[in-house]
This record gives sequence, C-alpha cells and structure tokens, in this order.
Amino acid sequence: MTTTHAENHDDAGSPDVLRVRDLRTSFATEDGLVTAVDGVSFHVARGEILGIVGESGCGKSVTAESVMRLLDEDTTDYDGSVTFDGTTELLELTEDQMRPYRGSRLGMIFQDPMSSLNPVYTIGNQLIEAIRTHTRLTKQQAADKALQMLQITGIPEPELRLRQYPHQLSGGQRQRVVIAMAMCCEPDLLIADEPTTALDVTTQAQILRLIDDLRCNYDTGTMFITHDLGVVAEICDRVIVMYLGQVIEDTDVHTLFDEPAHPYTRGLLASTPSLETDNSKDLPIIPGAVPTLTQVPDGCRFAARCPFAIDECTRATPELRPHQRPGSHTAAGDHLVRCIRAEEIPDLLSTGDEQEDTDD
Amino acid sequence: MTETTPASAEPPQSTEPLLTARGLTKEFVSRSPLGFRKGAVTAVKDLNLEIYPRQTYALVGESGSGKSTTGRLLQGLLTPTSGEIRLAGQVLDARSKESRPLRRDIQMIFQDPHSSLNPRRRVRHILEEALRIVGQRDRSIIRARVKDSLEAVGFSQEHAERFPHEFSGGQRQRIGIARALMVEPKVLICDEPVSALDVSIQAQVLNLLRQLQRERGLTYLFISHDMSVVRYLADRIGVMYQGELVEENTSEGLYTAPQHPYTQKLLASVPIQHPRQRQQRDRLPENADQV
Repeated sequence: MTTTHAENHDDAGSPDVLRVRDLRTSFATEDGLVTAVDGVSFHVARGEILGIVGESGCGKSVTAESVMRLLDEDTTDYDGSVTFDGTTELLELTEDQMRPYRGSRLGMIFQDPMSSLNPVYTIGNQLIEAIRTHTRLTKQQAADKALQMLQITGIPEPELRLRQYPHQLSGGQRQRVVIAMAMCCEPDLLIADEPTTALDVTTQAQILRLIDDLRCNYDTGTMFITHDLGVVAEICDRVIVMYLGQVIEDTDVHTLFDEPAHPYTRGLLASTPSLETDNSKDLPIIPGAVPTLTQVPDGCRFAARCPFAIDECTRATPELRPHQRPGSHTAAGDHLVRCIRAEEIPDLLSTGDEQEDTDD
Repeated sequence: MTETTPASAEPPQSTEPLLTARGLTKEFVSRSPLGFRKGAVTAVKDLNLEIYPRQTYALVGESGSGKSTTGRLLQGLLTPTSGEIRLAGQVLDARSKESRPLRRDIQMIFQDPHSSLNPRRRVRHILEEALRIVGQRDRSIIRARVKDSLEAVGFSQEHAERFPHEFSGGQRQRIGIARALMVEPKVLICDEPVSALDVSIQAQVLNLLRQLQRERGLTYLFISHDMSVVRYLADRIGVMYQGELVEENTSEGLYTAPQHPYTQKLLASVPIQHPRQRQQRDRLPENADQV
C-alpha cells in the first residue's frame, strides 16, 4: 500500500503503533479453505482512531482477531505481516510470547460486555486480576489503580461498583468496566469491536465520548470496528471500508463523507436513513446481498450488486489504487479505492447514464 | 389505494382511530417459590394511544422503557393488568374467545429473523400454518394466499419449498412479513424489524414495508430505538420512558420541537450524519448517572 506515510513506515521510530501489510487469514472448513481476510493493509498511528467499516461477513472482526491472534491456530492460516510498535512482528510470535501483549499493550473491547465479564467475580476482583497479571503492583496498589480507572470512565459511585457483580450493573456501566479493564495497563493499541452496538443511543453517545477522551489522554491508537456510519462520523479520523474480505476504500473521514469513491461506499451512505432523509421517496438501495466467502465472485467482488459494473469489472480483480479526482482536496495517495471506474462515476451520475450501464 | 405522504402527518380528523389503548397498564409480579408476592415491576403505566388507519405510529425509547411490552399487549400476547384496547371500536380482550377473530387483524413481525421461523419446516408450511391456526381449511384458498403473500414480499412460488436456513437474514425477515400477511391483517406490529439487519439490507426491508402500506392500506405500530429510521418511516411518534408515554407528536413536530427532556436527550444522542457536524453539535448527555 502506498500512502504519503509510506516513507515513515520503514524506520523504527515511526509514529504508527500498528502496521498491517497484506494480511491474509484463511480457515480450513468443511467446504475447503475460506479466506476471510484477503490482502488487507492499513496502519494506525498513536492517538488516532481508525474506523473499520463493513457489513457482516466482510472480515472486519476477523481482521481484529488476527491482530490479537485470537483465532484457533489449528484451523487458521495467517499470511502477511502485522507489525506492532515498529519492531514486533506479531504473527511470528509463539503463543507464550504473544500472551504478555494481550491485555497489556494490546487492549480489546467486545460488543457484548456481559460475556467479557466473569459473572461470579466482583468487578473489583476482575480489574485487580487484570492489573496484577501485567504489572508488579501490590494488591493494594492494584485496587487503587482499579478505582482510579473506574473514576476515569465516569461510572457513578465507583467504590460501590468495585464490590458489585456484573449482573448488578446496567449495560452502559458494564461497558465502562470493560473499557476500564482494557485501559488499565495503558495499552498502545486499543481494538474496539462494535463496542456500542448493544447499547442504547443515549449510552452510546457517552461511551463514544469516553473512547475519544481516552485516546487523547493516553495517546492510544484505536482500531474501531463498526457497521454504523453515524458512529464513524462521530469519532473516527481515518476509515477503511471492507467488502468480502478486502479493503475497497481507504481515506480520511471527511473525504469518505464528502467524496466517497467506491460504489459500495456511495451505496452505504445513500441507503442509511438520516434525520434529514426525504421521507416522501423510497430509500436508494444496494440490490442483492453480500455473497458468502465460499462463493467469492471473480474480478470485482461487488460487481454483481454494482449499478456501474461493466464487462471489464468481472475480468480481473481491481487493485486498491490512489483515487485521482481532479479538484479533490485530498493529497494524492491519501485516498485509495478498489474500483476501475471510480473517477468516472460522478460524471455518470450527473448525466444519468448509470441506467444504461446496468444493462451491460 | 392512495399514496400516503408521511410528511403531512396530521391525524385525519374525519376518520376514527383504528387501534386505541386507554389506561393500558402491565405489571409483572415476581413470586416466591411458595407463591407469595415478592415484588412487582410496572412495565407499562397508564398508556393512552390512538393509531389511525394507514398510518405508521412509532414507539421509541431505550431498552426497558416498555415499548416491546406495549406491542405485545396490543397484539394480545400479554394480558394487561388494567386498561382497554379497542380495534375499530371493538374491545379486544386477550383472554376471551370472542376476541380471537379480532386479534387476527393484528399481526406481528419480530426482530430476529433467525429465531422467529421454525428451522425444520419449509417456508410453505410456515406460511400455511398461519392460516390453519385461524381455522382456514380450504386448500385452494390457502394455496392462493401463500402465492399472494410470497409475491407481496418479492419471492416466487418456488421459494416456498425451501427451508429458512437457505435464506439470508434480510430474506428471512421478508418471510416473516409474508407470514404476517397470510391472514390479511389490518395492523402490523413491527418490533425492531430491521435492527438485526445489515445497512444495505435494512433499506430493502424499509422500502418493502412502505410499499406494502401503500398497496394494502396497512397500519403499522413500529417499535424501534433508531431515531433516524423512525424519522424516515413514521407519521406519529410516541416516546416512552420508564413505562410511560412521555411525549407524542407528529414526526415533524417531535424532531423540530422536542418538549420532554428525555426526548431532547434522545435526539441529541443520535449520531451525526457528517464529521463536519462534530463542532456544532451540542453535547447534551452530561448526566452519566442515568446510564
């Protein structure tokens, strides 16, 4: 992947806390080898929130689990490179070497806070265990640290929470505890996998703000996985959009919303109702559904659902390449797209040509 | 069928409401193993609703606010502790046999299209069952309805011979809608029908619901926590908070001039549409103690 940051990538003192190159994650299944993540590259700088967007089955969670090496290694095959902090090659570590990274320098928050907490231990117990596993603090010091972390997450009555069990807390409070646990060792990289999807919208707003504050205070690099473009608009700095295991667009958040280049990104943005959507008309839709990974189409994987697809699209897999739109305010190479017609689409739309292309 | 324009959402004064609830209350009582009353939770408290024909009434609120319980009370899946439900003027009593033909006119679509269809039955059986259960025995009528319902949601006859697992999530939700249509209901209660679906599929199902409303004159009670979806679909919106209806207005009115503090907080929490709005949005939710 070529970006303007590329020069920085090769020296050890790079600001990127995580650099993923050409990651390929395959599973051995009954239907043969399934490649869930197919040549994904991205980087996360310190203090930056990278959004990973896509629908179910696009490989966004598998990407996160590959970075943390959480998948069953008997049936999973990794390829490519995952470089942490400029020097450590995570995919080459043994399980014993990997373990100290998880939970200390790499933190993770999952979608469902109830299943990430142990129901039979108090919150305090679990936080102290997490802290003492990775540091040399005494029990009392760890308890103080646990309380301090809970205070940072803004949970009401933190002293009381330490003595409570997970079932005594509300969903938002539980997610705050999980965030406190992920942040207690001050990780360099935080992976948040749909952390607000199970929460109410008012709670979601508070949790998003908390994650935003933490990255400022701790200079944490954050991989934020979501399917919700509203959440992306709220807190992400840069975004990669994934479709069927591949990155199809990679850009900063403003460009994504101002000048989406890939037809899939355009479709997602248009089909999401917002408070301003004209409700006298039907919503624009993306026809069809995401194919399964055992039936990956040849050529462009989105072609069958794409209103702009031409014969050429199905002949060869398009490369992830710099988007060159005259008059675009982004620097060359900062906006990557995997579509051979990306530059033509605005003109096609303005002349209403897309109908003819559908028949191709 | 005339096209309803949700934007002009005043309740038509000339028509009577189709579905009404008066003083609807539901209390869940927890009992000790010996049957003594231990405590009670009032899930819905003195709720008054009027839903007009061919309109979409949306109930919004956070989890635990009682919006799903309200939907289940109106459908007759739960018996209210007190209060009265009327459909087209006639009293609906979940316990009485006389109300059964009436209850047929209110059908439900559930959130999870995976658990609401029997995995061991073909789609044809699932659809036919909906009619058999209400006493329909005429095979030619049943067959015609299966065809009609499937076509209404964009499927053909051959899909009837498949099993639910052969369909994707969005397709399964359409089968759930087809099943609800089998008895030709007047009211559909949609309990979070799109929140388990992917973004691109969500739009397909929302468009289908709008199309069915235009073509069949359906009335919807749409239960959702997604303020953007509700804004797009609903004529009137009721906001529930801790079992009570705290505010009700036209879709337009609620979004332009929310009155209740909870409604204001809810609207301020809706994710922004564009990153440039980050600066201008007023960050309302300060009171973390409510979480």
